[in-house]
Amino acid sequence: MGHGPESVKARPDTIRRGGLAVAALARVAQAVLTAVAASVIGWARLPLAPGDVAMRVLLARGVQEPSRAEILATRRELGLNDPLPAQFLNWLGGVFRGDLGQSFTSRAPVMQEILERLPATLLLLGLALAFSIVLALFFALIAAAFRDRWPDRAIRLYTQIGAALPTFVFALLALSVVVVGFRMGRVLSDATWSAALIPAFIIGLDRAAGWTQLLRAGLLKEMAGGYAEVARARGASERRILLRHALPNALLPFLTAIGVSVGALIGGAPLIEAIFTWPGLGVYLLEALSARNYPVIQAYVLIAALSYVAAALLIDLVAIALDPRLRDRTA
Amino acid sequence: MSALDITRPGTAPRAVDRRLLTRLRRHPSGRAGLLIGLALILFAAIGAVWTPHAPDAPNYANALKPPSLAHPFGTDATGRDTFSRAMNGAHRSIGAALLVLGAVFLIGLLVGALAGLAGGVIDTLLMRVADIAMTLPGLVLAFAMLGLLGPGFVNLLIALLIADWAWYARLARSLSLDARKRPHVVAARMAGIPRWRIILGHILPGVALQVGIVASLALGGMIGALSGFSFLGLGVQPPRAEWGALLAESRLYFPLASWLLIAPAGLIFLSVLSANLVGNALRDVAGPGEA
Amino acid sequence: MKPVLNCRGLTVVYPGGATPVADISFSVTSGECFALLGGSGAGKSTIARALMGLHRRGTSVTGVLQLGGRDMIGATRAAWRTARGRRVGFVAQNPWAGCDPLRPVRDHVAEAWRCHGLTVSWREIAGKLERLGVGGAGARMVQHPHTWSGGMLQRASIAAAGALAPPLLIADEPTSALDADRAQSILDALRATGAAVVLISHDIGLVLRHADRVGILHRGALVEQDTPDALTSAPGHAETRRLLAALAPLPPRATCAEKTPLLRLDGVSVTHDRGRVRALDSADLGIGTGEIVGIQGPSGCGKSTLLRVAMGIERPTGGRLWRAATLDRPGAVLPVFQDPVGSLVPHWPIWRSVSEPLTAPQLPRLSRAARRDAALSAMSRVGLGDIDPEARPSELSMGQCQRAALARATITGPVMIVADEPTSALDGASTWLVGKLLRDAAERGAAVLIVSHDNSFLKRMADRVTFMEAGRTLAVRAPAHPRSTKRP
Repeated sequence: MGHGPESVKARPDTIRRGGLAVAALARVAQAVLTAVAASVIGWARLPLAPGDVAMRVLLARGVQEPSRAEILATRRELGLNDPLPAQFLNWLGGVFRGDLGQSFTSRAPVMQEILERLPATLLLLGLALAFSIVLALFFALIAAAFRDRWPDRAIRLYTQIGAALPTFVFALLALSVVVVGFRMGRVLSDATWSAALIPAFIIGLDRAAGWTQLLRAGLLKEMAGGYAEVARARGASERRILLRHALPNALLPFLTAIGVSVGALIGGAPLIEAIFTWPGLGVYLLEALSARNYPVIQAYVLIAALSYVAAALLIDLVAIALDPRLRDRTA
Repeated sequence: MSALDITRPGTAPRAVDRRLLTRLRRHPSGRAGLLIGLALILFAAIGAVWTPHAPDAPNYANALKPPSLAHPFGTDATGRDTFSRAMNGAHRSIGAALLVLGAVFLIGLLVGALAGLAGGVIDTLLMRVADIAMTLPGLVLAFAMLGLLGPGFVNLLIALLIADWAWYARLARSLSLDARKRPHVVAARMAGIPRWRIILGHILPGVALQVGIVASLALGGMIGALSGFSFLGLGVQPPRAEWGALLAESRLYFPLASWLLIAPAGLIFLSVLSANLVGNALRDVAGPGEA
Repeated sequence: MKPVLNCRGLTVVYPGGATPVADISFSVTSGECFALLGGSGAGKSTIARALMGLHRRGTSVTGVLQLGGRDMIGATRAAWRTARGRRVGFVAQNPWAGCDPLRPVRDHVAEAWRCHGLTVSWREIAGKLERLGVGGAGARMVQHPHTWSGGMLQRASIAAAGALAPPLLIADEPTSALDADRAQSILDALRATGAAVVLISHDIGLVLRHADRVGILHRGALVEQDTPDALTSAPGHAETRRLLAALAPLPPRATCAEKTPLLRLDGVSVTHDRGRVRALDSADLGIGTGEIVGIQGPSGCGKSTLLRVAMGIERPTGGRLWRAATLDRPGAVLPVFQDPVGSLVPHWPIWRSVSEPLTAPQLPRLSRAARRDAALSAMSRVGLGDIDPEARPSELSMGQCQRAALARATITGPVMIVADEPTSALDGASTWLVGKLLRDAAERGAAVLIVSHDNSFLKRMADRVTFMEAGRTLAVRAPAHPRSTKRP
C-alpha cells in the first residue's frame, strides 16, 4: 500500500440505469445462442464420424454383410444424402419433437432410453451438489471465523488433501472403506434416495474441498477489505461483519466458481457412475462409447450442453439479482 | 495508506531475489512441492527404462500376494508386481499430463496473444471458434471427442487438448488486451519502438507468466482427468500400466486385496499435491508486479 | 479545556518485534482539528488503528491512551467495541471501498446504530444527510453506493461516523480519493459534526490550511507539534523542513528565447462509441517549444482525451488540429503517467526501462554498455544516482519510479513531454522534485503539457493553465506565481 489514492476509478463514469428485467433478458438471449451453438457441436458428431454411418447402422441392426442396395436404402432412410444444413435442421426438428434418433445397438428410441436413466443421474448429481454447497459454506465460515486457530488449521488440512485427490480416486478409497471397513456390501446400485446418500456425500465431500478453499479465501479478503474495517470502527462485531457483509460479497465470485464446477460435475458423471455402479446416463454414455453408438453420444453431448447452459444461466441470474452493480453494467 | 497499511518504518526495503525459481525455492510450500515433483519425475524416468520386476509379464503362481519385502505393494490378480507397474506407469501419467498441459499452454498463449494483438477479423474468427469450444464443459467435450476418435492413449491426449485450449486462449487474449493499455507499453509506442519488440519485450513475458500460473494450477486436474479416462478404459490400453488403469484393474479385487489401491492412489495423490503446491506458490511469489 | 483524546508515551509493537510507533504523546481538546502529517511509512495508519483498538491480534499497545477521560490501554475487546462509534468515530479514505457495495447507502448509515443494537428511522437518517449537504437525501439514499459521487458518499460516511455523536472523529486521508475542489467541503462537513477531528494526511498544503494544530510524524515518532503558523515560520525538525520544502517556490523561469509553435487545437471534438459519447466537445489549446501548459478540471471532464489528442494517439472527430512536423518523428513526444510503477516494465531492471527510448530504430545504434551508461547518467540527473540500477520497479518507492519515468522521458531530448496527473500518487517532497524536473526539461527547450487536478502544483509550475469542464476548455490564464505559502 502507500501506492497513492485508490483514485476515482472506483466510480463508473456513466451510470446507465436498467434494472433487473433488462439485464436478465440479455443474459437469457445469450444463453439461447450458446445452446444453439452447443447443439451444432452435438449434431456434428454424426457427419464427422469416420466410416460410413449407414454401414454401421446396418451392422448394429444385425445385418452381417449388407449389400450395396441395402446401404443405399439406409442412407436414404437416414437422410444422409441431403445437404448438411438440411440434415442439421431435420435433426434439430427431431430434437424439438423429442426425437433423438434410434440407438444403433438396441434400436430403441434414444429419447426413451435417456428418460429412463436421467432421473438416477439427476438424483445423484443434485444431491452431491447440495452436499458440497452446504459443506463448503459450513467449513468456510468456520475457518474464517476461527482464522489461524485449530478449527481453521484442521479445515485447511482437509482442503489440501481433498484438492489433491481427484474425485474418482477419493470415491474409490472412500468406497473401499465403506464396503470393506463397515461391511456394507454392494447395496449402492439401485437409484433410490437412500442408496444415493452415501455416494452423493462422498462426492460432495471431495468437491467441497476446493470450494471451501475458494470461499474461505474470499471471506478473508472481504473481512480485510475497506468496508469491513469501517464496520469494525463503527463497533460492529466480527460475527455481524462476517455474516451480514463478508458472506454476501464473497458469495458472488463463489457462485461463478460453482457454475464452472457444475460443468466438471456433469463431465465427471460417467466416472462417478462407473465407480458406484450407478444406473445413470454416464454409464449409458460409456456403453455407447465402446459400441460407437453415435446417436447416443450425440444425445448425451446435447443434454450435457443444455444442462450446463441452464446451470450457468441460473447462476448468472442469481448473481444479477444479488449484485446491483451487475444490473447497471449489463443494462 | 488506508487503515490497513502494515508498512514497517525503519526496516530496509526487503531484498527481493529477481529470479522466479529462486523465490519459488524459498517459498516453504513451493519448496516442498518442487521436491516431491522432482522425486516423482525421477521415479517416472527410471520406471520408463527399469523396474525391479517385469511390469507386464503375468506370473499366476504369485497372484494377489499381500505386501512383502520382494513386493512392497503386493501383486495383482495375474501375479504382476504392483510397485513395478506403478513405477512403469508413472511416465505415462505424469509425462502425458505435462505434455498436454504444455501444448495447451503454448497453443492458448499463441492463439490468444495473436487474437488480442492483431484484433479485427483474426480476433473475431479465432474467438468465435474458441467460444464454440467453450459451450461444453471440458470433460464433456473430451468425451465427445473420444466418441469420435475412439478410445486410445494418443486419442485421449488429443481430446483433452481440444477440450482445454480455448480457455487458455481466452485468458491470454484478455491479458494481452489489458497489457496493451499499460503505461509502459504506451511509453514504448510513443518512443517509436517497433511493434514486434514491444510484443516480445513488454507484453508476452507478463502474459506468459500469468497463463503459466493458471496452467500450473490446472496440472493437478489434468493428472486426475488423464488417470480418470484411463480408469474408464478410454486411455491407456491393457496390458500397459498407468495409474488410473491400475486402479481400474485392482477395483474388482479390492475387498480381498485393498493394498492394490495404495500405490496408484498414493502416487496420484502425491503428484496432484505437488502440482497444487507449486502452482499456489508460483501465484504467491509472482505477485501483482510481474503481470 | 478537557481533552477528548490523551496519549502519553503511546508505543505499538507488532508480533514480529517491529515497532512502527514509539513513545508518542499528544492530546486533542474538544472541537479541535489535530492533524497527523507524515510520508508513507511514518506510522500514521498504525496510530489510527491503535486509537480505535483495531490493531491486529498479538500487537502490543503500551503507554497511556485515554478516550474522553477513560483509560483504554488493556481494555477488553467488548469494551473497545462499545467505545467505537460512541466515543470515537472513523472516516475512511475511499468512500466507495468503505461501503458494502451490495447494500443501499441508507443501510450503510443505519449500520452505525444497528451494530450497537439501536434502532433508527429512515427519516432521521435522511435529516442527518440533508444537514451535511446531501440534497434530496430521502430519495437518493435508497440507491447503491456505486451510483453516488465520491463527495456525496463521503458525507454519508461522515454522517455514519457521527451517528452516535462521538466527541472524536478519526479521518484517514478523507479527501485524497476526491477531486481537489471537493476537499474543502468535506473538511467543513467533518467540522460540522461538532466533534474533535484527528486528521491523518500526507498532504501538507491541506493540513496547513485546515488543521488547528499539526503533529509531524517521522519513522514512528512524533517529532514536532504546533500550530500551522508556528510550524511554517519556525520549523524545528529536519523532517518538518523537508515536508515544507514541497511548498517552496520553484526556481524562477529563465526568459525563454524564441518560441516556435508546436501544436494548435481549434474547437477540437472527440466522440466515442459511434458518436454516442462525447469525450471532448470543443477544445482550444496551443503550445510551443519551452512552454509549460497546464490543463485542470474535475475528473471526467475530458482532460485525458485532450492529452491523447495532443500525443497523437487519438484522432479528433471534429475541429482543427495542427501539429508541427517535428512532432511526427517517432520519439518526439514522450509521456509521463499517473501510475509510476505501471509506467515501467515490471520484469526489467530500472536502467533498461530508462534507456528504452534510445533503442528506437531511427536513432543510432548503441551498445548495451553505452545504453546502461546513458541510463545511469540520466538517473543521477533526477536524483536516482544511488539506487541499484538492476532493481525492479516493485522494489522502488512511488516517487523513485516517477523520477525514473522522468529520466526516460528526457533521455533522448524529446520535443514535447506530456504528463497525465504526474504527481497524484506522490507525496509533497516528490511532487516538488517532479515539478522541478519538468521545469528543467522546459528550460532545455521541450514543450511540457501537464494534466492535473492539483491546483497549487499547476499554479507554481505552468506558464499558462487551461481550465476544462464537461469536455470544453473554458479559460486560459497565466497563473499568479505564489508569493508565500500563507493560509487563506
